[in-house]
Amino acid sequence: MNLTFTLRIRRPQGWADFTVTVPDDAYVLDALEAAERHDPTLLFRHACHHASCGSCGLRVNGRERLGCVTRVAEVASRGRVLKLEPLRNLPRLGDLLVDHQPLFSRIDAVDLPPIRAAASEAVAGPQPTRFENCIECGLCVSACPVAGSDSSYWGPAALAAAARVAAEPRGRDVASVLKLVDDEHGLWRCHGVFECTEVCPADVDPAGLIMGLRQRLLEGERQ
Amino acid sequence: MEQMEQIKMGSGRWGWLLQAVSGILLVVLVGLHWVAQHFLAAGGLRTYADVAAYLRQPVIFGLETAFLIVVTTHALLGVRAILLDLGLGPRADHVLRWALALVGAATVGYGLDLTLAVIR
Amino acid sequence: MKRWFDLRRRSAGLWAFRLHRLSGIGLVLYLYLHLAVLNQLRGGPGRWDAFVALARSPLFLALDVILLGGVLIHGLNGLRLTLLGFGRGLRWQKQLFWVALTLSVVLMGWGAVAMFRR
Repeated sequence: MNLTFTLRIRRPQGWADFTVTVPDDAYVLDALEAAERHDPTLLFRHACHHASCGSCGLRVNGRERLGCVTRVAEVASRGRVLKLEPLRNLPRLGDLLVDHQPLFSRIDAVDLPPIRAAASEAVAGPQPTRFENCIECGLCVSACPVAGSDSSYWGPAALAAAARVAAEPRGRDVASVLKLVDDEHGLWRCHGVFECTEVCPADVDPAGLIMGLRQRLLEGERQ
Repeated sequence: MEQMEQIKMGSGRWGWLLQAVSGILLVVLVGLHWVAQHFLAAGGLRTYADVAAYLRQPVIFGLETAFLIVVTTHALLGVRAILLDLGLGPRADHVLRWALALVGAATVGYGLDLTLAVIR
Repeated sequence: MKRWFDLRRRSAGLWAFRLHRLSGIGLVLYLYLHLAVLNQLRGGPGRWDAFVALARSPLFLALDVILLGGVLIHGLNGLRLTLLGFGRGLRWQKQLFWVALTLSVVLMGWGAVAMFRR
Protein backbone atom coordinates (compact mmCIF):
# COMPACT_ATOMS: atom_id res chain seq x y z
CA MET A 1 0.00 0.00 0.00
CA ASN A 2 1.14 3.46 -0.78
CA LEU A 3 0.67 6.67 1.11
CA THR A 4 0.16 9.99 -0.65
CA PHE A 5 0.38 13.19 1.33
CA THR A 6 1.74 16.71 1.30
CA LEU A 7 5.25 17.30 2.52
CA ARG A 8 5.59 20.89 3.66
CA ILE A 9 9.21 21.91 4.00
CA ARG A 10 10.49 25.11 5.52
CA ARG A 11 12.95 26.57 3.07
CA PRO A 12 14.77 29.89 3.55
CA GLN A 13 12.35 31.53 1.11
CA GLY A 14 9.30 30.14 2.95
CA TRP A 15 7.20 26.96 3.02
CA ALA A 16 7.33 24.70 -0.02
CA ASP A 17 4.77 21.93 -0.61
CA PHE A 18 5.55 18.63 -2.28
CA THR A 19 2.96 15.96 -3.05
CA VAL A 20 4.70 12.72 -2.29
CA THR A 21 3.78 9.05 -2.64
CA VAL A 22 5.72 6.47 -0.67
CA PRO A 23 5.11 2.93 0.56
CA ASP A 24 3.15 2.99 3.79
CA ASP A 25 6.10 1.60 5.77
CA ALA A 26 8.44 4.33 4.52
CA TYR A 27 10.38 6.71 6.71
CA VAL A 28 10.48 10.49 6.68
CA LEU A 29 13.87 10.35 4.93
CA ASP A 30 12.33 8.33 2.11
CA ALA A 31 9.69 11.00 1.70
CA LEU A 32 12.42 13.65 1.61
CA GLU A 33 14.27 11.73 -1.06
CA ALA A 34 11.04 11.49 -3.05
CA ALA A 35 10.66 15.27 -2.77
CA GLU A 36 14.27 15.72 -3.83
CA ARG A 37 13.51 13.87 -7.04
CA HIS A 38 11.02 16.66 -7.82
CA ASP A 39 13.45 19.37 -6.78
CA PRO A 40 17.15 18.49 -6.65
CA THR A 41 18.02 21.78 -4.94
CA LEU A 42 16.43 20.55 -1.70
CA LEU A 43 19.10 20.51 1.03
CA PHE A 44 19.10 17.91 3.79
CA ARG A 45 21.62 15.59 5.40
CA HIS A 46 21.52 11.81 5.66
CA ALA A 47 24.00 8.98 5.84
CA CYS A 48 23.53 5.72 7.69
CA HIS A 49 19.72 5.51 7.67
CA HIS A 50 19.74 3.54 10.91
CA ALA A 51 20.02 6.03 13.78
CA SER A 52 23.72 5.71 14.45
CA CYS A 53 25.34 8.62 12.60
CA GLY A 54 23.14 11.44 13.92
CA SER A 55 23.06 13.26 10.56
CA CYS A 56 19.36 13.36 9.79
CA GLY A 57 17.93 15.23 12.78
CA LEU A 58 15.08 17.59 11.96
CA ARG A 59 11.74 18.77 13.29
CA VAL A 60 8.76 16.69 12.19
CA ASN A 61 5.48 18.51 12.86
CA GLY A 62 7.34 20.67 15.34
CA ARG A 63 8.96 17.83 17.23
CA GLU A 64 12.63 16.79 17.11
CA ARG A 65 13.04 13.41 15.43
CA LEU A 66 15.55 11.42 13.39
CA GLY A 67 14.25 11.26 9.84
CA CYS A 68 15.62 7.80 9.22
CA VAL A 69 13.65 6.01 11.92
CA THR A 70 10.45 8.05 11.98
CA ARG A 71 7.77 6.28 10.02
CA VAL A 72 5.69 8.47 7.76
CA ALA A 73 2.57 6.54 8.73
CA GLU A 74 3.11 7.56 12.34
CA VAL A 75 3.24 11.28 11.58
CA ALA A 76 1.13 11.76 8.46
CA SER A 77 -1.90 10.23 6.86
CA ARG A 78 -3.94 10.69 3.71
CA GLY A 79 -4.89 14.31 3.43
CA ARG A 80 -2.69 15.48 6.28
CA VAL A 81 0.30 17.74 5.87
CA LEU A 82 3.67 16.58 7.15
CA LYS A 83 5.69 19.62 8.19
CA LEU A 84 9.46 19.47 8.18
CA GLU A 85 11.74 22.14 9.64
CA PRO A 86 15.43 22.28 10.47
CA LEU A 87 16.74 21.79 14.01
CA ARG A 88 16.73 24.91 16.16
CA ASN A 89 19.53 26.60 18.04
CA LEU A 90 22.24 25.65 15.55
CA PRO A 91 23.36 27.85 12.64
CA ARG A 92 21.24 27.21 9.60
CA LEU A 93 23.02 26.44 6.34
CA GLY A 94 19.94 26.04 4.14
CA ASP A 95 16.59 24.23 3.92
CA LEU A 96 16.83 21.44 6.49
CA LEU A 97 20.58 21.69 6.88
CA VAL A 98 22.19 23.00 10.08
CA ASP A 99 25.79 23.34 11.19
CA HIS A 100 26.63 20.91 13.99
CA GLN A 101 30.08 22.40 14.58
CA PRO A 102 29.16 24.42 17.70
CA LEU A 103 27.87 21.19 19.23
CA PHE A 104 30.93 19.18 18.24
CA SER A 105 33.30 21.88 19.53
CA ARG A 106 31.67 21.86 22.94
CA ILE A 107 31.73 18.09 23.20
CA ASP A 108 35.40 18.16 22.18
CA ALA A 109 36.12 20.78 24.84
CA VAL A 110 34.91 18.38 27.48
CA ASP A 111 37.51 15.88 26.28
CA LEU A 112 35.34 12.79 26.39
CA PRO A 113 37.42 9.68 25.74
CA PRO A 114 35.92 8.50 22.44
CA ILE A 115 36.66 4.82 22.39
CA ARG A 116 36.33 2.05 24.92
CA ALA A 117 39.61 0.26 24.26
CA ALA A 118 38.78 -2.98 26.06
CA ALA A 119 36.05 -4.44 28.23
CA SER A 120 38.65 -4.85 30.96
CA GLU A 121 38.88 -1.07 31.20
CA ALA A 122 35.24 -0.83 32.19
CA VAL A 123 34.54 0.75 35.55
CA ALA A 124 33.92 -1.77 38.27
CA GLY A 125 30.63 -1.49 40.10
CA PRO A 126 27.15 -0.60 38.86
CA GLN A 127 26.56 -0.61 35.12
CA PRO A 128 27.80 2.79 33.85
CA THR A 129 25.50 4.95 31.76
CA ARG A 130 26.50 4.34 28.19
CA PHE A 131 27.05 7.86 26.97
CA GLU A 132 28.73 6.13 24.10
CA ASN A 133 25.15 5.95 22.91
CA CYS A 134 25.27 9.64 22.06
CA ILE A 135 25.26 10.08 18.30
CA GLU A 136 25.70 13.87 18.51
CA CYS A 137 22.56 14.40 16.47
CA GLY A 138 21.68 17.71 18.10
CA LEU A 139 18.03 16.92 18.80
CA CYS A 140 18.58 17.80 22.46
CA VAL A 141 20.10 21.18 21.62
CA SER A 142 17.16 21.93 19.34
CA ALA A 143 14.62 21.01 22.00
CA CYS A 144 16.27 22.98 24.79
CA PRO A 145 14.58 26.35 25.43
CA VAL A 146 17.69 27.72 27.14
CA ALA A 147 19.91 26.87 24.17
CA GLY A 148 17.37 28.84 22.17
CA SER A 149 17.93 32.10 23.98
CA ASP A 150 21.46 31.83 25.34
CA SER A 151 23.99 30.95 22.67
CA SER A 152 26.75 30.61 25.26
CA TYR A 153 24.86 27.88 27.10
CA TRP A 154 26.91 24.67 26.98
CA GLY A 155 23.83 22.69 26.12
CA PRO A 156 22.57 19.25 27.08
CA ALA A 157 24.87 17.12 24.91
CA ALA A 158 28.12 18.72 26.08
CA LEU A 159 27.02 18.72 29.72
CA ALA A 160 26.01 15.08 29.46
CA ALA A 161 29.46 14.37 27.99
CA ALA A 162 31.03 16.10 31.00
CA ALA A 163 28.93 13.97 33.34
CA ARG A 164 30.16 10.93 31.47
CA VAL A 165 33.80 11.97 31.90
CA ALA A 166 33.17 12.48 35.59
CA ALA A 167 31.59 9.03 35.89
CA GLU A 168 34.20 7.17 33.89
CA PRO A 169 37.35 9.29 33.54
CA ARG A 170 39.83 6.83 31.98
CA GLY A 171 42.75 9.08 32.73
CA ARG A 172 40.99 12.36 31.92
CA ASP A 173 41.34 15.24 34.37
CA VAL A 174 37.91 15.24 35.95
CA ALA A 175 38.54 18.32 38.08
CA SER A 176 39.32 20.48 35.06
CA VAL A 177 36.29 19.23 33.15
CA LEU A 178 34.05 19.93 36.12
CA LYS A 179 35.59 23.38 36.48
CA LEU A 180 34.75 24.02 32.85
CA VAL A 181 31.06 23.23 33.18
CA ASP A 182 30.59 24.45 36.75
CA ASP A 183 29.58 27.77 35.30
CA GLU A 184 26.70 30.22 34.94
CA HIS A 185 26.37 29.23 31.32
CA GLY A 186 27.07 25.58 31.99
CA LEU A 187 25.50 23.33 34.57
CA TRP A 188 23.64 26.12 36.34
CA ARG A 189 21.83 27.45 33.31
CA CYS A 190 19.74 24.31 32.97
CA HIS A 191 16.20 24.80 34.21
CA GLY A 192 15.21 21.17 34.41
CA VAL A 193 12.89 21.27 31.42
CA PHE A 194 13.82 17.68 30.46
CA GLU A 195 12.94 18.21 26.79
CA CYS A 196 16.43 17.00 25.90
CA THR A 197 15.80 13.66 27.58
CA GLU A 198 12.38 13.49 25.91
CA VAL A 199 13.72 13.80 22.38
CA CYS A 200 17.01 11.94 22.67
CA PRO A 201 16.91 8.94 20.29
CA ALA A 202 19.80 7.22 22.08
CA ASP A 203 18.65 7.22 25.71
CA VAL A 204 21.44 9.47 26.91
CA ASP A 205 19.14 11.27 29.41
CA PRO A 206 21.12 14.53 29.40
CA ALA A 207 18.83 16.18 31.95
CA GLY A 208 19.29 13.35 34.39
CA LEU A 209 23.05 13.46 33.97
CA ILE A 210 23.09 17.24 34.47
CA MET A 211 21.10 16.90 37.69
CA GLY A 212 23.42 14.12 38.83
CA LEU A 213 26.43 16.33 38.24
CA ARG A 214 24.78 19.14 40.17
CA GLN A 215 24.18 16.77 43.03
CA ARG A 216 27.82 15.81 42.94
CA LEU A 217 28.98 19.43 43.03
CA LEU A 218 26.50 20.44 45.73
CA GLU A 219 27.17 17.55 48.01
CA GLY A 220 30.90 17.19 47.53
CA GLU A 221 32.86 14.35 45.98
CA ARG A 222 31.46 10.87 46.44
CA GLN A 223 32.80 7.36 45.78
CA MET B 1 31.27 22.18 56.35
CA GLU B 2 32.85 20.26 53.54
CA GLN B 3 30.24 21.63 51.18
CA MET B 4 31.17 25.22 51.98
CA GLU B 5 34.74 24.66 50.78
CA GLN B 6 33.43 23.28 47.55
CA ILE B 7 31.21 26.21 46.80
CA LYS B 8 32.91 28.33 44.22
CA MET B 9 31.67 31.87 44.27
CA GLY B 10 30.55 33.10 40.90
CA SER B 11 30.17 29.70 39.30
CA GLY B 12 26.42 29.87 39.39
CA ARG B 13 26.27 27.19 42.00
CA TRP B 14 25.99 29.79 44.74
CA GLY B 15 23.13 31.53 42.91
CA TRP B 16 21.23 28.32 42.39
CA LEU B 17 21.66 27.20 45.97
CA LEU B 18 20.54 30.57 47.34
CA GLN B 19 17.51 30.47 45.06
CA ALA B 20 16.63 26.95 46.23
CA VAL B 21 17.10 27.71 49.94
CA SER B 22 15.21 31.01 49.77
CA GLY B 23 12.47 29.20 47.87
CA ILE B 24 12.09 26.59 50.57
CA LEU B 25 12.01 29.29 53.26
CA LEU B 26 9.39 31.15 51.26
CA VAL B 27 7.05 28.18 51.13
CA VAL B 28 6.84 28.55 54.90
CA LEU B 29 7.01 32.36 55.10
CA VAL B 30 4.44 32.97 52.37
CA GLY B 31 2.13 30.45 54.00
CA LEU B 32 2.41 32.19 57.35
CA HIS B 33 2.01 35.62 55.79
CA TRP B 34 -1.10 34.60 53.87
CA VAL B 35 -2.74 33.01 56.88
CA ALA B 36 -1.84 35.98 59.05
CA GLN B 37 -3.28 38.50 56.60
CA HIS B 38 -6.46 36.70 55.63
CA PHE B 39 -7.50 34.66 58.61
CA LEU B 40 -6.34 36.01 61.94
CA ALA B 41 -7.93 39.44 62.20
CA ALA B 42 -11.67 39.86 62.34
CA GLY B 43 -12.88 40.42 58.78
CA GLY B 44 -9.68 39.00 57.34
CA LEU B 45 -7.66 41.98 56.10
CA ARG B 46 -6.49 44.36 58.77
CA THR B 47 -7.53 47.94 59.41
CA TYR B 48 -4.85 50.50 60.15
CA ALA B 49 -5.10 49.97 63.90
CA ASP B 50 -4.87 46.21 63.41
CA VAL B 51 -1.79 46.58 61.20
CA ALA B 52 0.02 48.74 63.71
CA ALA B 53 -0.79 46.40 66.59
CA TYR B 54 0.23 43.40 64.49
CA LEU B 55 3.60 44.83 63.45
CA ARG B 56 4.46 46.04 66.95
CA GLN B 57 4.85 42.45 68.12
CA PRO B 58 8.60 41.67 68.00
CA VAL B 59 8.18 38.14 66.62
CA ILE B 60 5.89 39.42 63.88
CA PHE B 61 8.22 42.29 63.06
CA GLY B 62 11.06 39.79 62.81
CA LEU B 63 9.11 37.37 60.64
CA GLU B 64 7.78 39.99 58.27
CA THR B 65 11.22 41.56 57.92
CA ALA B 66 12.73 38.14 57.24
CA PHE B 67 9.96 37.53 54.71
CA LEU B 68 10.73 40.81 52.93
CA ILE B 69 14.45 40.07 52.75
CA VAL B 70 13.99 36.49 51.57
CA VAL B 71 11.31 37.28 49.00
CA THR B 72 13.27 40.20 47.56
CA THR B 73 16.39 38.04 47.29
CA HIS B 74 14.46 35.25 45.59
CA ALA B 75 12.64 37.60 43.23
CA LEU B 76 15.75 39.44 42.09
CA LEU B 77 17.74 36.21 41.69
CA GLY B 78 14.85 35.05 39.51
CA VAL B 79 14.99 38.22 37.42
CA ARG B 80 18.71 37.67 36.99
CA ALA B 81 18.16 34.05 35.90
CA ILE B 82 15.71 35.14 33.22
CA LEU B 83 18.08 37.85 31.98
CA LEU B 84 21.01 35.41 31.93
CA ASP B 85 18.90 33.09 29.81
CA LEU B 86 18.74 35.86 27.25
CA GLY B 87 22.52 35.59 26.91
CA LEU B 88 24.24 38.24 29.02
CA GLY B 89 27.99 38.46 28.74
CA PRO B 90 30.21 38.59 31.86
CA ARG B 91 30.43 42.38 31.87
CA ALA B 92 26.69 42.86 31.62
CA ASP B 93 26.24 40.24 34.32
CA HIS B 94 28.62 42.16 36.58
CA VAL B 95 26.63 45.36 36.09
CA LEU B 96 23.38 43.49 36.62
CA ARG B 97 24.52 42.02 39.92
CA TRP B 98 25.28 45.45 41.29
CA ALA B 99 22.07 46.93 39.93
CA LEU B 100 19.97 44.16 41.45
CA ALA B 101 21.83 44.41 44.76
CA LEU B 102 20.95 48.11 44.84
CA VAL B 103 17.33 47.45 43.94
CA GLY B 104 17.20 44.78 46.64
CA ALA B 105 18.69 47.02 49.28
CA ALA B 106 16.30 49.83 48.29
CA THR B 107 13.35 47.47 48.48
CA VAL B 108 14.21 46.22 51.93
CA GLY B 109 15.01 49.76 53.04
CA TYR B 110 11.65 50.97 51.79
CA GLY B 111 9.83 48.17 53.58
CA LEU B 112 11.62 48.72 56.86
CA ASP B 113 11.08 52.47 56.68
CA LEU B 114 7.38 51.97 56.02
CA THR B 115 7.03 49.47 58.85
CA LEU B 116 8.73 51.78 61.30
CA ALA B 117 6.50 54.66 60.18
CA VAL B 118 3.41 52.59 60.92
CA ILE B 119 4.40 51.29 64.35
CA ARG B 120 5.48 54.63 65.69
CA MET C 1 10.75 3.41 25.06
CA LYS C 2 7.75 5.23 23.77
CA ARG C 3 8.41 7.09 20.56
CA TRP C 4 4.80 7.69 19.70
CA PHE C 5 3.84 10.86 18.03
CA ASP C 6 2.98 13.13 20.92
CA LEU C 7 -0.17 15.01 19.95
CA ARG C 8 0.41 17.38 22.81
CA ARG C 9 3.80 18.03 21.24
CA ARG C 10 5.63 19.00 24.38
CA SER C 11 6.25 17.27 27.64
CA ALA C 12 5.30 17.94 31.23
CA GLY C 13 8.76 19.35 31.90
CA LEU C 14 8.32 22.12 29.35
CA TRP C 15 4.88 23.02 30.69
CA ALA C 16 6.38 23.12 34.17
CA PHE C 17 9.09 25.48 32.93
CA ARG C 18 6.60 27.77 31.21
CA LEU C 19 4.24 27.92 34.20
CA HIS C 20 7.14 28.45 36.57
CA ARG C 21 8.54 31.30 34.53
CA LEU C 22 5.16 32.92 33.92
CA SER C 23 4.16 32.72 37.58
CA GLY C 24 7.60 33.97 38.58
CA ILE C 25 7.33 37.07 36.42
CA GLY C 26 3.79 37.65 37.67
CA LEU C 27 4.91 37.35 41.26
CA VAL C 28 7.81 39.80 40.89
CA LEU C 29 5.38 42.32 39.39
CA TYR C 30 2.91 41.60 42.18
CA LEU C 31 5.62 42.04 44.83
CA TYR C 32 6.39 45.57 43.73
CA LEU C 33 2.76 46.42 43.18
CA HIS C 34 2.01 45.20 46.68
CA LEU C 35 4.86 47.17 48.21
CA ALA C 36 3.72 50.29 46.36
CA VAL C 37 0.14 49.86 47.53
CA LEU C 38 1.31 49.45 51.12
CA ASN C 39 2.44 53.03 50.91
CA GLN C 40 -1.21 53.87 51.55
CA LEU C 41 -0.42 53.11 55.17
CA ARG C 42 1.46 56.39 55.35
CA GLY C 43 -1.87 58.12 54.79
CA GLY C 44 -2.99 56.93 58.18
CA PRO C 45 -6.21 55.13 59.11
CA GLY C 46 -8.31 57.28 56.77
CA ARG C 47 -6.48 56.27 53.59
CA TRP C 48 -5.70 52.74 54.64
CA ASP C 49 -9.10 51.68 55.91
CA ALA C 50 -10.70 52.94 52.70
CA PHE C 51 -8.28 50.82 50.77
CA VAL C 52 -9.01 47.75 52.92
CA ALA C 53 -12.73 48.16 52.27
CA LEU C 54 -11.88 47.92 48.57
CA ALA C 55 -9.55 44.97 49.14
CA ARG C 56 -12.29 43.02 50.85
CA SER C 57 -14.52 43.29 47.77
CA PRO C 58 -15.28 40.14 45.73
CA LEU C 59 -13.29 41.43 42.76
CA PHE C 60 -10.17 41.87 44.85
CA LEU C 61 -10.64 38.55 46.55
CA ALA C 62 -10.96 36.92 43.14
CA LEU C 63 -7.64 38.48 42.15
CA ASP C 64 -6.23 37.20 45.42
CA VAL C 65 -7.29 33.70 44.42
CA ILE C 66 -5.39 34.03 41.16
CA LEU C 67 -2.40 35.26 43.15
CA LEU C 68 -2.74 32.26 45.42
CA GLY C 69 -2.74 29.99 42.39
CA GLY C 70 0.42 31.62 41.09
CA VAL C 71 2.16 31.29 44.44
CA LEU C 72 1.14 27.65 44.74
CA ILE C 73 2.28 26.50 41.33
CA HIS C 74 5.52 28.43 41.60
CA GLY C 75 6.23 27.20 45.10
CA LEU C 76 5.29 23.58 44.57
CA ASN C 77 7.05 23.30 41.23
CA GLY C 78 9.98 25.11 42.84
CA LEU C 79 10.19 22.39 45.46
CA ARG C 80 10.14 19.86 42.60
CA LEU C 81 12.99 21.69 40.83
CA THR C 82 15.00 21.83 44.06
CA LEU C 83 14.58 18.11 44.55
CA LEU C 84 15.60 17.39 40.96
CA GLY C 85 18.56 19.74 41.23
CA PHE C 86 19.90 17.61 44.05
CA GLY C 87 19.62 14.58 41.81
CA ARG C 88 16.59 13.19 43.64
CA GLY C 89 13.34 11.91 42.15
CA LEU C 90 14.62 12.14 38.57
CA ARG C 91 12.65 9.10 37.50
CA TRP C 92 9.46 10.78 38.60
CA GLN C 93 10.05 14.28 37.29
CA LYS C 94 6.86 14.27 35.21
CA GLN C 95 4.70 12.75 37.93
CA LEU C 96 6.05 15.26 40.40
CA PHE C 97 4.86 18.03 38.12
CA TRP C 98 1.36 16.56 37.84
CA VAL C 99 1.25 16.23 41.63
CA ALA C 100 2.38 19.85 42.04
CA LEU C 101 -0.22 21.05 39.54
CA THR C 102 -3.02 19.04 41.09
CA LEU C 103 -2.12 20.15 44.59
CA SER C 104 -2.01 23.76 43.39
CA VAL C 105 -5.49 23.55 41.93
CA VAL C 106 -6.92 21.80 44.97
CA LEU C 107 -5.31 24.16 47.48
CA MET C 108 -6.28 27.15 45.35
CA GLY C 109 -9.89 26.03 45.46
CA TRP C 110 -9.76 25.38 49.16
CA GLY C 111 -8.08 28.73 49.77
CA ALA C 112 -10.65 30.51 47.63
CA VAL C 113 -13.51 29.06 49.64
CA ALA C 114 -11.78 29.93 52.90
CA MET C 115 -11.07 33.50 51.82
CA PHE C 116 -14.55 34.18 50.54
CA ARG C 117 -16.15 32.75 53.65
CA ARG C 118 -14.30 35.23 55.83
